[in-house]
Amino acid sequence: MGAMTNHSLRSAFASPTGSVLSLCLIGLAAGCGPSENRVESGIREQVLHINNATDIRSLDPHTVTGLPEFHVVAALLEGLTAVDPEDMSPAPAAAREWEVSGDGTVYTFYLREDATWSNGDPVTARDFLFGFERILSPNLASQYAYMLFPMKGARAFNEGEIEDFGEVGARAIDDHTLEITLHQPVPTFLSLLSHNTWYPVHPDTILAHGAIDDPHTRWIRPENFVGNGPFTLERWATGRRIEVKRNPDYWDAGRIHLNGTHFYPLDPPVGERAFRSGQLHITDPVPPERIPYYRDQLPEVFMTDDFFGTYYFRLNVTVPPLDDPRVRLALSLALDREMIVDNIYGGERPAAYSFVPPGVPDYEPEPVIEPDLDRARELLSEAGYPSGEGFPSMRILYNTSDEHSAIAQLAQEMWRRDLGLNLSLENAEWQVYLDRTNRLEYHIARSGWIGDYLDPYNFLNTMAGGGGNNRTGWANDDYDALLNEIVGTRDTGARRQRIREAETLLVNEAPVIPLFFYNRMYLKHPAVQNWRPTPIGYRTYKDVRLAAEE
Amino acid sequence: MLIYIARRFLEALPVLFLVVTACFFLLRLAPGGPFSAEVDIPAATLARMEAHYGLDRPLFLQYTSYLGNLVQGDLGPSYHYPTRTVNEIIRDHLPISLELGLWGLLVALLVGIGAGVVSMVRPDSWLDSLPMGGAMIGICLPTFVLGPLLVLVFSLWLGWFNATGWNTAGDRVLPALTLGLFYAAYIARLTRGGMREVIGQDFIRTALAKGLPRGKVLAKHALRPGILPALAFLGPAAAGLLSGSFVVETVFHIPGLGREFVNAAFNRDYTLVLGVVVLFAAMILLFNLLVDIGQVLLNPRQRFE
Repeated sequence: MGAMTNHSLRSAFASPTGSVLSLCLIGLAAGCGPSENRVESGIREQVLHINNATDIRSLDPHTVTGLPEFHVVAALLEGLTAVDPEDMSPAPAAAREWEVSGDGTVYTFYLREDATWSNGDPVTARDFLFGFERILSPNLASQYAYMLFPMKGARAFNEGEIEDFGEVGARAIDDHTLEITLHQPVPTFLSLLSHNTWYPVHPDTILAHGAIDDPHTRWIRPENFVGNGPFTLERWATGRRIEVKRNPDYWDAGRIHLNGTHFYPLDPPVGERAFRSGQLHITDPVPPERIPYYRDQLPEVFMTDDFFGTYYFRLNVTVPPLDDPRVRLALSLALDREMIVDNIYGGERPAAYSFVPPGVPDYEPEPVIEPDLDRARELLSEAGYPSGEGFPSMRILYNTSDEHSAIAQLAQEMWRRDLGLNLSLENAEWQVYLDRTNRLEYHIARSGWIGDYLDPYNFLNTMAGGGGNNRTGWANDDYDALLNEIVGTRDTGARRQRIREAETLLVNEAPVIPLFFYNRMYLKHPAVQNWRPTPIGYRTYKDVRLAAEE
Repeated sequence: MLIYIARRFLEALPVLFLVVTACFFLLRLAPGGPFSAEVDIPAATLARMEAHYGLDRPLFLQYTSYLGNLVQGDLGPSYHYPTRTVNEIIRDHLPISLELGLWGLLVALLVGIGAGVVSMVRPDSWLDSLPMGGAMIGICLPTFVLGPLLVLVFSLWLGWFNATGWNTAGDRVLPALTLGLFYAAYIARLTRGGMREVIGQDFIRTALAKGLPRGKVLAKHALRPGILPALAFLGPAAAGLLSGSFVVETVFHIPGLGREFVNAAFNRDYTLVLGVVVLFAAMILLFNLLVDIGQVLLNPRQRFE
């Protein structure tokens, strides 16, 4: 594939279209076409070519918000802990070991003495403190600063209530010993630390390009970037690719097989074509309409992995009759989720009958509702709309996408056929869609949530009464009380129980109608080995290697 | 002639000013903003981000300071890509769009005028209907269909070219064809129409009656006035070609300005949208001027006041 010989060139010019080529492009033809495609050269050079799906905005671990950014940052920087892809447990990274106090609020981390920044400086406890101070600085305006709020005083510092960072619960005992104090025990704390918000930055580099709390300096450019991760930043050409190179001074360099990774910003259909023509080792995601083809014809390249996300409809509970829980539950019970995932994703995504997606080690989804048309019709007539009579005309809002459109059409048809409701569809551009869901100017809206860390609380908390991510107008005192209990409970069994209760309450009250759980469906060349993604998008490139095909 | 050109330049300034003004305020009317996100952002954080870019100031002040910077050639910072300026983004991506446009223009001219002239030689024969039929298909076939079709055939089936990218010389072929053939189709039809009109005129009959060879009459006497309609079309077409095609750049993943422009509109990257609009407007004005000059040169009957 991809090879272009002189022979094929000549035959190109012999064909009718070829004559057009010959007219205008003969000058180009000399250099035409690589003799070896990128997949092959990548295997030879141990350079992974991967589609990152979009142009990333920044590489600053403290201000980036998207997964594509995280995928690159994870190659360049390293936090105290990493995620063990085997069981999702926290694994040592910049910290070689740690101790936790009896009450679960004080963590002492012992940093590796041999870990260095890419400029040769040792990685010290003070670098971590500098990072924490930076992301919490009000002027940095980090959207994800809340990830550090379990740390004592972090929130107060971020909100400007205290100005001395010394009052925040983090201190360097010596160069390689770091102590973090939480204001209450957080069972998932060690996992949180693998998130980019907790990453250290190199203080001298940051300060050489601006103030600690200036979010727009040029330290993230390849010529300036200093990191402590397994790879270093070589090239960042927007629209083309980002190149990272193996860091020979990384403390665990012996484990790194790859000499580099190139990230490309291709749209999914373009990425799929590039994959087919031998230009990419991995492209993620697969366009939905191509799923059945790859699953059936090329199962050796078609991959599915857990992804910590849920797709759901939001209902605006401030608009009658959606203020009636019976109506909302009826809508939920009438949806045939299996049919939706079969039609759109070739059955490759799990239908959702609960809110928290799979992937949490000790919390598997259990259905908390069961679709039931008879009950749905009953509920609807109890609410005063027998066979849908008198039900006002409402709209299903979604942001522009063939996928969302098809899903909304299926739901529309199910609600029409089975409940007698006449809903219409409404497509909006992304920003308009965000604006309208924020202002509660919608009836039913397509929605989704991707978790930032492996904890069901991350999902349930979005629906807290009055929260900024709620966007339904729904508030329930019992639910909020359960959320508080979840935060305060250390016993994992009891905590799990509360989570299940909260989830059951939420899905039966139905301000949200879960449809299915996301997963990652991607194409991977068989040469790529030890590729082990995690449900939260954290990637370790350390063990990955490219093996020549037999 | 110089006075004419200078006057046209001066006339272009108010047009540019109107374009900038309308675009500036229309952008702000669109829902959302550069910092809108699916995840809730605390109000204080949002306020700080807006203050950093001066978006908290009265709109009219923002407008005047934008104009002030614009006059000095400073298009401002991008709101979507922190640490990058609009000038940098244009500098990075415009040359690629220009190159793509040039190849596309070349395809459009050679194929378009070629097909137009060929179909003229034997009107209503297969030499006429075949290119014109092809041109009709070219006009009807949108680039987002033609592009993937070319990729399917020449890249995935035959393996001659890369499916995406802008690295090797071969990477230029399919995008240039995709972009150029659409315009070629128009130019072919316009050339044929223009030539047919000319060919019926007295001076052609005179030339033929004097015994000049038919080919020479076509090439020397008929072509010049015959391609005038195509030339008029070429002004806006060239500006369109050179300023980047969102579709072609997306289909082949070419890092040109067209893609950046459309994405900037979705991202509400106000300064980037404005910067590119100003640039495109200036390019369209410039190409229209060039076409007017070209028409004068080709058609001595046309006099400018």
